Amino acid sequence: MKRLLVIAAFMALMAPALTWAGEADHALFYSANQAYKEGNFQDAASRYEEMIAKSPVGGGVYFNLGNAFLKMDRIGLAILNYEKARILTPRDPDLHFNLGFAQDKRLDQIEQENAFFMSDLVRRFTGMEIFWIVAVLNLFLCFFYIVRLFKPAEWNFYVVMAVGLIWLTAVFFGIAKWYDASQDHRAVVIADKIDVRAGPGDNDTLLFQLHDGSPVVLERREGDWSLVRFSQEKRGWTPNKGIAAIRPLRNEPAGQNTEA
Amino acid sequence: MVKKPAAMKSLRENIANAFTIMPILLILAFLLAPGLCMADVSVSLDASPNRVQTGDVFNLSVTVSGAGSADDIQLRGTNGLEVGRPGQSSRTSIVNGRIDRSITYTYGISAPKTGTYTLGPAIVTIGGKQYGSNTARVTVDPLGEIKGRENDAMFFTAEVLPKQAYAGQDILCRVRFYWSIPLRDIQFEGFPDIENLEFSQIGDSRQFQKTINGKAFNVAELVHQVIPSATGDYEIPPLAVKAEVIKSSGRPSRFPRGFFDDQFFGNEQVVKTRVLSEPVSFSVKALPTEGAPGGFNGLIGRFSIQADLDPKEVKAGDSATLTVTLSGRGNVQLLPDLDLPPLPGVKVYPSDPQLEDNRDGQGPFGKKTMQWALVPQTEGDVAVPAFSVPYFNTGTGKYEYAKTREINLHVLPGAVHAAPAPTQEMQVNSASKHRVQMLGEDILKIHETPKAVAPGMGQTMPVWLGVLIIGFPFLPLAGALIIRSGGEKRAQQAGVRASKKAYAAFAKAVRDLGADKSVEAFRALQEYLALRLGLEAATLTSHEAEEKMLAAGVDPESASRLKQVFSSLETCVFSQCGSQFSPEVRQELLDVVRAVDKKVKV
Repeated sequence: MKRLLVIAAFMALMAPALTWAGEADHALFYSANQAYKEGNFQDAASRYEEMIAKSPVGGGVYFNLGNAFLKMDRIGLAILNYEKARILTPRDPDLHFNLGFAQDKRLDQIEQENAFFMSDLVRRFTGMEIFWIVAVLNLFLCFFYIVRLFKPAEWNFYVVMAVGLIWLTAVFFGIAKWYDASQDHRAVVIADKIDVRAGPGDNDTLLFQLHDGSPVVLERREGDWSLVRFSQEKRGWTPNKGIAAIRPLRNEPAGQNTEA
Repeated sequence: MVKKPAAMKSLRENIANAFTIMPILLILAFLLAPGLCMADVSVSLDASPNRVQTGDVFNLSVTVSGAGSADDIQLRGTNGLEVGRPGQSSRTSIVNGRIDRSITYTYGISAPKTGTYTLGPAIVTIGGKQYGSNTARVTVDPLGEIKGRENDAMFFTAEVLPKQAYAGQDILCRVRFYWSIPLRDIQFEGFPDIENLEFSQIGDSRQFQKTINGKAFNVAELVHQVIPSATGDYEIPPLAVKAEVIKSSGRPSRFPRGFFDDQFFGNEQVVKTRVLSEPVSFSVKALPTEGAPGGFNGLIGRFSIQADLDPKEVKAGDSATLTVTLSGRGNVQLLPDLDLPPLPGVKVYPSDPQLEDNRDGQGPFGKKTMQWALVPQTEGDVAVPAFSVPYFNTGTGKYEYAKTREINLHVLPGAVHAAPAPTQEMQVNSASKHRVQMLGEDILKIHETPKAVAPGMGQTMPVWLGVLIIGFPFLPLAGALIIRSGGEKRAQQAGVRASKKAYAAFAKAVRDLGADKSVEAFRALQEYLALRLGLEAATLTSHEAEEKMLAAGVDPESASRLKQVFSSLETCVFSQCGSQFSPEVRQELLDVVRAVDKKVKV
C-alpha cells in the first residue's frame, strides 16, 4: 500500500511536466506549412517565428524555419535555425543534410576553431536525454545499494560497482554537456556582409569582412556592438544587428534575431 | 659380496658403447647432412656484355650448381668465335640450413666477325651424367669510331646514338677509354655545359678487354642519357679523361716486374696525363605534324603488339584470359594502358598492367602486359575487338600503328547457358559500375508531423521537478542508511548498558555462594568478564583476563590482582579442591572485581 502511495505521489509530481508538453499551436503550424508548400516562404517564416515566440516548440519548427529562410536565400538565418534545431533534435538526418547544404553555400572559407574536446560527442545528445539516463541510473544505483545495505552478498557488490561506474560515466557526460552548453557562444552572420573592426565604432580600423552564414564566436556585447572571433587570429567588433547567437548569452532574452 | 648377473653387465656395456658411438654418429650426420640437403644439379649460362664490337672480348660464364666440379664441359654455338681457356671460381652459401654450392667456369671469348651468335647450350658431364644449360645471344657490331687509333697506347672515344634523333626519343652518349699501358686513377672529367642539353649517367662504368689489330686494350665504358630540351643540331666538344701513367724508373732491378714495381721501392715513375676525345655532333628533329594519328601519346621507337586469348573456347560461366603485350625499343615508359571495350554478355575483370622497363647499350626497351579475365554469361560467339596503338617509328620516320587482330571467343553452353540472349539491360549490368552523379541540388522538405512541433520535455520542465527526479532515489537510500545506522547504535547502546550492569549481576551471583561453590564463582567471573568487555562466548585464561583488562584501561596493579584471584579460582576448579571458596576469598574476589569494574573504559 505504501509503495502504491509512493508511486502515485511520483506520478502526481510528473504530471505537470507531461501536461506542459504539446501546447504548441498546431493550427499555426499547419498554416505555415501550407504557406511553405505554396511558395510563400516569407509568410511561412513569419508564422514559424510566431509559433516560436508564443511557446516552446520542437526542433521541427526551427528546421522548417531554416528551410523557409534557405528558400529565400537567407543562408545565415537558415544556418542559425538549423543549429537551433540541432540542439533539440541532434540526430535528425534531414537536418544534417539541409545544414550541410546551407553551409556549402557560404562564401567564406571556415577557419578551424579549437572547440571543447567533447563537443562533437555531447552534441549528439540532448541535455534531456542525458538527464533521463542519469535519473534511471540513479534509481538503479540506489535500489541495489539499499539491497546491499540489508542483504550484503557478492553478487550485489559487483552489481553496485558496475552500476556505479556507469552512473559516474553518465554524470561525467552530463557535466560535459552542461559545460558545453554553458560555453556555447556560437553565433552566425545573418547579414549579407559585416565589417569587423578593431573597436566598437565605425571609425575603428576595418580588420576583415565576413559574409552571410559564416560562424563566429560571440565573446561579449557592449551596447550595439559585439566582440566576435572568427578564428584565433581573426577577432574584432561588429554591430549586433549583423550576427545572431545560436544560444542567447547569459542575461540576454532568448528570441529570434531577424533584424537583418 | 653379491655377484652381478652377466646379463646386467652386458646391458651396461651396450649402453656404454652406445654413448661412445653416439658422438661419432652425430659428427657423421653433421658432415653428411649438407650433402643430403644440397640443391638439385642445375647448369646456367650467361654472356656479358651481350653486345660488343668486333675484336671485343666478352665473358661467357657456365655455372654448375648443386654438384661438385664438372668432369667435362662442351660449349655449343661457338663456331667462328675465339674461345679461351676457362677460369674457375666456386661459391658456397647456406640458407635456412640448405647448402647451395656452385662452380662457375668463365671463358673469355672474342668475335672476329660481326653478327648475332647464339651461344650454348653448355653440356656439362658430372659423374657420368650430362646436364644442359640455357643459351645466350651476343650481338657483335662492326668497329665504330676507334678505327685508325689502334696504334696509340691510350685513346678516348665518344659516340652518340642515334645521330639523327627525334624529339622525345632516347639518345645515348657512350664514352670509352682504351689503354694498353699501366695506368691508375682514371677519371672522366664529365660533360661541359651545353645549352639545351642535359646528361644523365645510366648505370655504373664497366670494364672489359678488346683486341684491336692484335693489340690488347683495356676498355672503360660509361653510358649517359642525353636529354635535349629543344630541337636542332648539337655538338659535344672534346671530352677528357685524366689518368696517371705508371712508368719504370729505368734503374736496373734484380727482380722481375711485378711486386716491386712500386713507388715505395722507388722503382717506378708516375706521369699525369689527359686524353681528349673527338667532338661529336648529332641532331634532334621535331616529330612531323603531318599524319600524326589521334591518340598518339608521344610513343617513339619500334613497337609491336600481340594479343592472345586462352582458351578460345569456354563454357558459359567459365573464364578465359585475354593477354595483350606491347613491346619494343624506345620510350617504353609511355606504353599506354589499353582499355577493353564492354563485350555484350561478358563480365570483364581487368588486372593491373605490368611494365617491364630495361636498358642496354642501344637504349631502353621493354614491354607492357595487360590481362583481362573474360567470363561469358551466354553461349555463342564473342568477338574480342582488335587493339591498335599509334607510335612514331624512328626507323621509317613515319607514324605507324601496332595492331592486333580481332579474336573470336566461342562460348559453349555451360552452367549459365540457360540465360537469355543479352538484352540492353544486361549489357548495362555487365559493364563496370560507375559513380552515381548528382543531377540536381535542393534541400529536403519540411517536417509536417505534429511530433515536429511538440517541445521536448526539457524545454518545459521546471527546474525543481528536475531536481526532484534526480534526487528522488536518494530519499529511500537516505532512509535506509538512517534505519541501518539507528539499529547499529541501538545495539551498541544495549551492549553498553549490559556492560554497566555486569558487576551488579556478578555480585548478586557470587555474594550468596557457599564455600564449596568455587566452580559457580569461576563461571560467574567468566560471565562478568565477557559481558563487561563485550566478548562473545569467551572463555578466558587468567593471563588473557589480565591482558584484556590492561587493554580496557585498568591499571596494572588491579589487573594483576584480578589475575591472581582468577588464577586461584581456576586452579581450584580444575584441581577439584572442594571448599576453597571461603568467605574471605569471596570478599577478596568481590573487592578486586569492583575495583577493576570502576576502571574499565567501555
